[in-house]
This record gives sequence, structure tokens and C-alpha cells, in this order.
Amino acid sequence: MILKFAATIYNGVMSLPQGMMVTLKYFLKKPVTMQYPDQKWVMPARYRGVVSLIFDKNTGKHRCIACKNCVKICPNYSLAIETAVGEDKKWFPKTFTLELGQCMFCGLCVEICPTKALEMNKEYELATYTREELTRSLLP
Amino acid sequence: MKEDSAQDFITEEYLLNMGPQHPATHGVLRLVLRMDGENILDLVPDLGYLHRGFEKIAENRTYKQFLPFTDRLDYLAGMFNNHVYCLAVEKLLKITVPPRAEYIRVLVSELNRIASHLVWFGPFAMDLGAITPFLYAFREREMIIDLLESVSGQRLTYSYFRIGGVAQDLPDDFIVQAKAFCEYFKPKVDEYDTLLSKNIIFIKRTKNIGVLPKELAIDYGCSGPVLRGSGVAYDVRKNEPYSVYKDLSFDIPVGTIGDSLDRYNVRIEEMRQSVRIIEQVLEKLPGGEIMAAVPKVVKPAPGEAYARIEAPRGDFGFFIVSDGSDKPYRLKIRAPSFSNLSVLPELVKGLKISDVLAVFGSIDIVLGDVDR
Repeated sequence: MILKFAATIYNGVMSLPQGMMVTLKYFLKKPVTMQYPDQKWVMPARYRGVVSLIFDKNTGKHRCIACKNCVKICPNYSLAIETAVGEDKKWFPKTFTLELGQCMFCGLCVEICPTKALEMNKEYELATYTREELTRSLLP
Repeated sequence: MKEDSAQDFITEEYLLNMGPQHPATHGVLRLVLRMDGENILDLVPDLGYLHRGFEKIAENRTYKQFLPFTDRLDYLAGMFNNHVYCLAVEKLLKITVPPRAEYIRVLVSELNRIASHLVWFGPFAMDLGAITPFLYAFREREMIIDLLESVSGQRLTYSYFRIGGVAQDLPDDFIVQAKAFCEYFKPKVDEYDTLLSKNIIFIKRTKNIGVLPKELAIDYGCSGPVLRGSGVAYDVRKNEPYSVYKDLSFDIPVGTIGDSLDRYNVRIEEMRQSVRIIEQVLEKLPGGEIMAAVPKVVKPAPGEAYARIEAPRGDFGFFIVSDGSDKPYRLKIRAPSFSNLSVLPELVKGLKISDVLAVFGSIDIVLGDVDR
């Protein structure tokens, strides 16, 4: 009885240093934690951030033709477009708003866009102070 | 004052609320415990705090629109949710997925299985008082999540699968990185063994605690590691192979008596087997298309389909009834965590309060999956 008790204690004491050896090994290595606000992630190329319109660098124009496919596919109904007809008789979006609070970043709108006018940028710090700021206009 | 005043002292049973805000319930679950002193007489899990009504939402969304919602079911294993939903819709549409897409699906799913088991492993150890394994588990999980993020664009809510294939092909350096991860991860599992599996305090806390007999596990409809821990070698990947699992060789680890330690060992071994599967898939990965020809508007013929897969938490199924329109008429989700949780009251009767955490941690539920 006493012998068994002693054996249990011995086994218990012996199993502790085994685990401690593992931790000691990492104690002597470099830390893996990234100091977040000081250091920032480099987002991968496919990262799905906020939906935004792509503007041509030279002309400053976007490719949206206001077909509303993105509005229809959006599972959470977070996109809205008001269309208008321009002087050249082509449709264009008069307003293009995104309810960021409703968006679930699935990327279906980007996928369905026939003119590849939309993209998801690399933005990820999306907290705002007021609810109104969550409604974003995609147009400048 | 009488001498035998201890006899006048009235003792009675009491109810103890564990949760909804309790760190060990891993989400919002309330456990109502009927206690006699420190002994548990009965336990009632109170669910529904995370109910979002996905089955009803599905009736108002098109087939393609509902896919991102499935990510939020079992949020630690988004790939599996995508997979089973796509399988069910593909069954309705009678689409064959190209082989490359099938292999990619298995590849990302098994990576996700390891990540999911690591999230179980760390907090399970932490519930029992060991903090170090948690940090190590999350260090490795971070690497998997980075890999899956480079494929799909998100860390947890992947939405990577599409009806008929996958959204995008693998990135260029993915295969090299996945191979490197496999090599890195194999010795880490042995490290977990040293840290926890062989630790005598851990063994004393889990051995013979929460014994789930084989018959009871089957009666309650348990699945996954909970069922296999009780000694039933049932795995949907083997018993009803879907995707390309029949071309891959892997073992199904089983326990013996079905206590918390058995369930623990099954999951640890499953991580090793997942690495084995990933390595085989990386070797065999064929070229070719990643999407089958799918109509632009998904409108399956009237009928019904049931698809099931082996998710990290067990047998995960989707039942879809189509009435010929572009929205499901009815969609039913068979969540493994729900069945596994229902067996908990049977397991904890007669145990002490501190053992509840050991048992509860070992059945590994995700509340997003339970409440749906």
C-alpha cells in the first residue's frame, strides 16, 4: 500500500521534468509571437478584405456597368446600387453603397462581376466609432 | 442548544449554473447541474444561445448564396461544412467533380481537421490546468491557418468550395509549403505526447472518467472520435467513402473502454493519420480542371438528397429537398456536436464538478454546430 503510494509519487515527480525539458527547449529559442500593433501582417494575395471598386490608375475610371449582379448575389443584401443613364446612353452607378456591418466577406460579388470591376482590398482593421461609418460608398 | 445539532442541520440538493459565460464551455452553453454537495446528480445542457436559424435562412437564399452561411456552422472546420453542402447539391444536380478538385478538397479538409483538433487539444489541456500545450497547439494551428488563408482568402470562414469544384486553384508555392508543414508537424505530435499524454496528472484526471459504453454511444447517435473512443471503428471515410478517400490509405484509431483518455488518444492519433493523408494527396495530386460545368442558375430537378462526411466532430450531414426552384424547399443539417452533447448527462452522473470539464472537453463540441 505504502509502496504503491510511493511509486505513484515517484512516477508523478518523474513525469514533470519530461514536460519541462520540452518547454526549456523553447525557452532558449526565439519567441514566435508577433507584436501586433507595432508589427503588421503582410496579407496574402487572395485575402478577402473590404469590397471596393477598382479605379484605373491612369484615367481614374471604374469599370462598373451597374448590372446589379453583385446586388443580386449578395447573401446578406449588403450592397445597393442606384443606376442612372449617362449622356452616352450607358448605364452607370449613381450611388454604390456597402453596408459593412452586414457584409460577410464571402467574395461572391467579386466572383460574379462580368467586368471584373470589384476587388477585395487588404484592409482588416475595420472597427468604427459609430454605426453610420459602417455604411461606405464605393464611389469617391 | 442540543448536543446533536448536526442532525438538525438541513442539507438539500441545489442547482448550479455553469455558463452561459463560462470559459470552459467554449462558447455559449449553459449547463444546469443538480448537485448533492460536490457530487453531480443530474445535468441538463441548455442550448440555443447561438441559434441563428440557418435552416430557415436557406429557404430564402439561392443555392449559391447559401454557401457562405455554411462556414458559420462549425466555425472551426469551415472546409467540411462547405464540402458536405456542395456534395448534397452536387447529388441533386448529378454533377461529377473533376479529380483535381476532389484532391484539393481532401487536401484542404485534412489540413482543416488538424487545425480543428488542435483547437480542441489546447483548450482541453487548459481546462485541466495545463497552459503550455495551449500555446504550442495554437502556434502550429497558426501555420495551418496561414496556409488555408493563402488558398481561400480567409482564416476561418473559407467559402472556398463551389458547387461543382473549388473556387480557385492552389497558389504556386502551396505544395512546397504544405510539404514543409507536414515535416514540421510530425515531431510536434510526439512533443504533445511528452507534454500531456504521458503526464501522470493528466492521465489521473482523465482515465476512467466519463466512460461511454459502446451500446450507449450507438443508441445516442454519437459519431466521430466520441464513438471511436468507445471502440466502434466507424468512420464515414472508410464505411461510405466519399470524394477520393477510397484511393488513400489511412487507419481508423479506436479506443477500448470509452473514457476521456480514449477519446483524447483517438484524436491525437487522427492528427497523425491526417498528416499521412495530406502527404499522399500531395504526391498524387492530378492536373486538370478545378470546376465542373455548372449552370449559371442552379435549379435542381424536384427531389431530395442526403450527403454525409466525416467532419472532425463526427458524422456531418445535409439533407436538401428541392421543389425545382432556385432555392431549397427545405434544408436539414445533421450536426455531430448536437448528438455528441446529448450523451453528456449520462457521462457525468456521480462524478465531481471538476470532472465535468474533463468529460465535457473530451467530447469536443462547437456551439455554432450545436445551435445552428
